[in-house]
Amino acid sequence: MISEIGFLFLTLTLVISSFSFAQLIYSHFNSRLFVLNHLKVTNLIFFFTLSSYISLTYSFLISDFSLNVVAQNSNSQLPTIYKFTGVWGNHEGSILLWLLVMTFFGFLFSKNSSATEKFKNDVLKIQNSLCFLVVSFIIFTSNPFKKSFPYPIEGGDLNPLLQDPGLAIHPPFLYLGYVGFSIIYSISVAALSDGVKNYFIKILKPWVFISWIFLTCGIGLGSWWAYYELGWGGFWFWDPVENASLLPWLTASALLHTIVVADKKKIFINWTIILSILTFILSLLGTFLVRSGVLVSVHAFANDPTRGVYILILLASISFFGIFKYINKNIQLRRADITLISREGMISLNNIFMLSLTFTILVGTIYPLFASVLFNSKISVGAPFFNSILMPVMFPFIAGMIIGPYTKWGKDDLIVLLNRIKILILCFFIISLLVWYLNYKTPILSVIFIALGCWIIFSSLFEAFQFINKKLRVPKKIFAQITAHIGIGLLIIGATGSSILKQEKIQFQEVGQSLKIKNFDVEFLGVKKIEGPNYISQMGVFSIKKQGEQIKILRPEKRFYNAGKQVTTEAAIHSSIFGDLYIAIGDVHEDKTKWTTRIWFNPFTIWIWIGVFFLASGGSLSFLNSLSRK
Amino acid sequence: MKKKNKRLITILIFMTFFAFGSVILLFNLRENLIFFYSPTEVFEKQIETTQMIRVGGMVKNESLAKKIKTIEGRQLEEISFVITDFENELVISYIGILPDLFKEGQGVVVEGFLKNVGKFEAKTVLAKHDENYMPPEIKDIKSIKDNKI
Repeated sequence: MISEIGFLFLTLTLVISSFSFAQLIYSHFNSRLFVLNHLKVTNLIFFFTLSSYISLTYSFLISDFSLNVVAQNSNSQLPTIYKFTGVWGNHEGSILLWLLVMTFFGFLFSKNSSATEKFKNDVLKIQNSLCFLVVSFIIFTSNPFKKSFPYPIEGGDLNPLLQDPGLAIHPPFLYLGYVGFSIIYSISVAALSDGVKNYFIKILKPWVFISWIFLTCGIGLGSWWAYYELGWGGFWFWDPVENASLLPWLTASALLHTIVVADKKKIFINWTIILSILTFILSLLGTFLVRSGVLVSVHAFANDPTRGVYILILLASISFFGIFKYINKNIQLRRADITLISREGMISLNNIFMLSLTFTILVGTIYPLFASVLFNSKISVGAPFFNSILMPVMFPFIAGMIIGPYTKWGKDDLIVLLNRIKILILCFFIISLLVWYLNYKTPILSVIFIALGCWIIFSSLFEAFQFINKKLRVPKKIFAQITAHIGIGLLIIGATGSSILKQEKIQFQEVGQSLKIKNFDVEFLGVKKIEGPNYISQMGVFSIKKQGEQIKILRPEKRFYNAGKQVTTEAAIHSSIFGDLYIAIGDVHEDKTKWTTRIWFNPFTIWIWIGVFFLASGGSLSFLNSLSRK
Repeated sequence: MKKKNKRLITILIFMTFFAFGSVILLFNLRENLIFFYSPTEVFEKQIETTQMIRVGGMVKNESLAKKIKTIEGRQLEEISFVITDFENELVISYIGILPDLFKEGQGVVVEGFLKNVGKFEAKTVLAKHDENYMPPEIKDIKSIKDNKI
């Protein structure tokens, strides 16, 4: 009964949003067929989608197996929290969540933006039309309320990999980021037909920050989850789906920098619009890659090919519409002369690097797709490609990141600039020697990158120090920038440590046997059988000793889920600021005394997560600033 | 006129950089491509033993075997299994922990080096997230399609 109501609400969303869509199409032919208040449409479709989503959640909670998605992705044994999160642990539900977030952003915009009623109406017309496209995708290709008769008495299982708190919160965050770019797209495209008044930058700004923050957190959470749940000992694998999430993140980061200049100097307005449109297109591309299963990826799920085609059409039409509007824009812009050594110049440089990276990663990610269509050859692009491209680009990028904040707006002189930061350069020299002294046994590449990471952190701190030295308060904007840049520095240190400096040992370990890794002694105490709510676990018990003293007991698991007959690995991690000790347990040998164990020491990994936290905090501070300066 | 020239030069410089960048990119890409082969193609084609490739097919039933190997004083478990496209077979050896969803009778993709005829040393066994997921590359192998798994 509830599920029928859910479907009814979904259909209502389709019908009502179609009004906005129809008007968007008609307005091109200049025929005023009907006058529509798109704000009302936005409110209605948000509440309808929300009701529909609640009905689906309710069906999951009461285990209504007459619904296909519930029967396939949930069962009565499943802990309540995973019934709740299981709603988005499958294709249909997750696209419904996508729609919910999209309508939610429209709803927020209609309530909280400083825009004029007319401009709001224009933006929401586009936003509602996007919702229409998504809701029709749901109803025609992936209806979560589809029923089957006769229905099973017991359901299947939520993919055990997804039964984890880290993953439970990862998709909503990622979607809030991905889909947040839809409102940025709508605002930019609406601004194009509105003649791009300067106020549109002020309207756009908070939405850029909020979406970027969520995307950053989403990627961070996903990476963290992959790190401890998959038991592979890494956090980033250059998998197509991971790359797909990185692409909009990079262009959004470029947008983040550009919009500051656009707001202050009223230049780069065109460029801001291009980046906004591009970012949303890349978000959609990401969705296409994940949902169509065209690329070999660990994230690929069993799929229905018609969905891929539909998303591709969606992607093409939304891109086409954005580009069409851009070409037919009616705006007069000031041409700006920019010198390289100035704040504007440095931010342009940042954008060039960000976009080069985006382009490179895009080529690497979709090249296999083209190769399979054009040459019928099956290939994949491995991590070495991305690493070899990324590393050389990092040097000028970091240099720009360090110099950038010290340059003046308008025009600056390189000699004067260097003179201004001479103390800093001296400090860099000392830091580099110190890092080299502490790590002289390790590969030179790791020394370089860790030193560069420290440089960024130090130069950001020095920026703050300059203000404090003059007994001034650090301006909020600068404080946000410092926080985010420190985050990047930490991220570089963490990534270098856990990739180049990683130590790995894999072996058969007998019960009672002790192994040495870094300065830890890892003693294998045995394996216990544990029963969880819906799984049986073989839990290895390891005693971690440092200089003969026990500091921790680690318990990696191998879980067997009853319902789906699937196995998952739960790694056990001992984190410290110097690195993580990471243990995963494999199979038992025939003689029942030896187990395969895989032990890693991943230096500085914790700094990756702290770095992401700093990035998100920096973003949040900027967001709060952009709100208070309306 | 002067302003126009300046603009032209800027555009030319950008184009040169872009072209130069793209060439580097494509060369780099070509060196780092990992090709995918079916077991039959592995036998038909000359594949360098230094080149990393991917091979995919179905894991043959009851072919999974484990033996102990000692490397650098540590005991290791060497896993071996046979993958097949129902025409040819390839023996895969792998040291490590198999992905959770690895099963006999199911599709698998491995990445590594061809050692000698019919033997493959896997560095990675590619995991998947979903039991029912079948990599499109395996699905497209003709002999597997014909056998309708």
